[in-house]
Amino acid sequence: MAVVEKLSPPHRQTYYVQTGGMHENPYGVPREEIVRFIIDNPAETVAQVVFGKYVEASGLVFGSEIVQQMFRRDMQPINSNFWIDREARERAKPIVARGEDYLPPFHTGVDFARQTDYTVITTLDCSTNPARCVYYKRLNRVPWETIYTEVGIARMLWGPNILGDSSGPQGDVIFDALESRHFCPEHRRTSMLGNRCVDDNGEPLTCDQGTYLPLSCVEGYQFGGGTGEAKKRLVEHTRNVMSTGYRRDRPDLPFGQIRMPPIVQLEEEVTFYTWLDKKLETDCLFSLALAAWSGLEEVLPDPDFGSVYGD
Amino acid sequence: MEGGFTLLEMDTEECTNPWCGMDLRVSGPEEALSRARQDQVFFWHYFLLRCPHPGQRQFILGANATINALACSNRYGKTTILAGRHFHKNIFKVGAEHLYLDPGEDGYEFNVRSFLRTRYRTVHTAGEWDQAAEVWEDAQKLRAESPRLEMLITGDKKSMPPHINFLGGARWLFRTLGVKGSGIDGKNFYLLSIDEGGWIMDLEEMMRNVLQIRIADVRGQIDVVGTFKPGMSKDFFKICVRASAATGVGISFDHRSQSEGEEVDEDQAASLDEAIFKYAKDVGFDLTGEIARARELGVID
Repeated sequence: MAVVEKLSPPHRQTYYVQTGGMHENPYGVPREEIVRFIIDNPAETVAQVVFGKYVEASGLVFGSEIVQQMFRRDMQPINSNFWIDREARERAKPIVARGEDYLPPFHTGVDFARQTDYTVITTLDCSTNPARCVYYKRLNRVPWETIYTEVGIARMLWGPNILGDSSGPQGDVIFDALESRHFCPEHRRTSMLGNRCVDDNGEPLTCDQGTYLPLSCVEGYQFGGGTGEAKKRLVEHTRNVMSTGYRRDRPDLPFGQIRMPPIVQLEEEVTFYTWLDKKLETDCLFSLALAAWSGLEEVLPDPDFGSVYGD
Repeated sequence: MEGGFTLLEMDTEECTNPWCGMDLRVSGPEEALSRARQDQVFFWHYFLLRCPHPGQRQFILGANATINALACSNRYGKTTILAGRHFHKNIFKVGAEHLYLDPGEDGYEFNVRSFLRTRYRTVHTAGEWDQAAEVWEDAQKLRAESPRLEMLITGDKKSMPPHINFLGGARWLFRTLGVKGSGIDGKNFYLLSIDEGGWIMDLEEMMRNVLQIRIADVRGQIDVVGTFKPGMSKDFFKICVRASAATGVGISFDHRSQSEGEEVDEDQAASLDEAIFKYAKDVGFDLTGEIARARELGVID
């Protein structure tokens, strides 16, 4: 008989969670006491202290079921700031190469860094249902030139369906800059329209200007300034496409129009996002939301996860 | 399920609890140990003389992740869960099998020498000693009540900080977390349990900077238990939410009391009170009679 392999240390899931109520313990508090406590105390206290259930007053937007459903659990968690689906990239090459007359099914969202936060670029392949994330990049403390170049790279890889956050005065500056630039796929750099790539001495390089990709394809989405209405609509749309097809009587069935790799930062942001988001990190979430807004049509589901109108 | 706590007798052949009925007959100590290693519910019956209730059973069987969160009510029996988890791990050095099970011709062979040489420690902690002491006292009670369990323990140190030594060389420590987790820094553990997690204000920071590192090299586990209460630490809630998002298990109270096709008065459906009464009924805790009586007496609306 063959000798078995040497054992390895255990591999574990990261999390397990369970709730439990007082009534489950037959050795614990007598039934009459539990009943008295339920009748005498405020509902919120009863839910938490007797039944061990948290009363949702935290304002979290995305419920655990939809967060869980959106992330692929068959992949290793992604802690890095870059991820690309190389297979999808290979498939995308001929599609993107067809040029401007054919809009590819890839939709990219870009949340631009303002002061201390991150610029995040996310691309969804919307040719499948659910749509799949194929590209993710997160940048911090880099010059604007680098950010424009990264937008150019996304344009080169996935085509011209790009939606960026154009809120505020800074948005105007960013979009003016994008409007007046193109991207050289050969040298992977941007230059002003009418100019071409040059070397360190200012001498023109030999790349074909005909292959330059204009960045004016990037469209803007205004978050809505002080009222934040447009931003709320964007989040609401994301929540709706994430929960499309959810059936409360069959929560085991797959639902939602987006599947993401388990990007740790995104999962944190989605899990803890609240409507009052002043001090939260939200760049990955809004980058995804912009891509979803660009590429996914909202099918209004039953309002199982809050109002579909965001009221 | 009425009648309060039931301590099993040493000669019990079959558990008589309605949710259990486990056959406890074994041919001798060797079979008992072998079965208890694999079957924690049997371990509880045979060595702790306790029958875990269904919720406890679910946790001891299901909590095999790196971070296991138990958000339960008061008086759920979580102290005994933690004591049982530590006893089982320390007696059998669970999670370190790769260090003492050698590949053989007929499967894995138990290498006693390696087992005894495997350094194995677990720790139970809480924010304050009074909270940590609950499990220490429960552990002492379990030892006192079960000679079978006591046989597997070689001694303890009762002065502060205490610990319990096991026959196979494992040691179970009891500590407070200290400032930012300093109480347990510098050691590694196969199980690190935290009681009353809801009262630890900087739990998130401790988890990130100290606690997860303490179990990382041996691929151990963290059990964090607590109760959701108004005024509790957001950090415990965050750990549970993160676990909930990762596993899809709901932890919050579901206000959506209306089931498919069910006619429910809109105002009532929106009421948390009504949702709680309905939830109680769904989990087999029918309060219809009591509610009617309370309404008659004017205690509730």
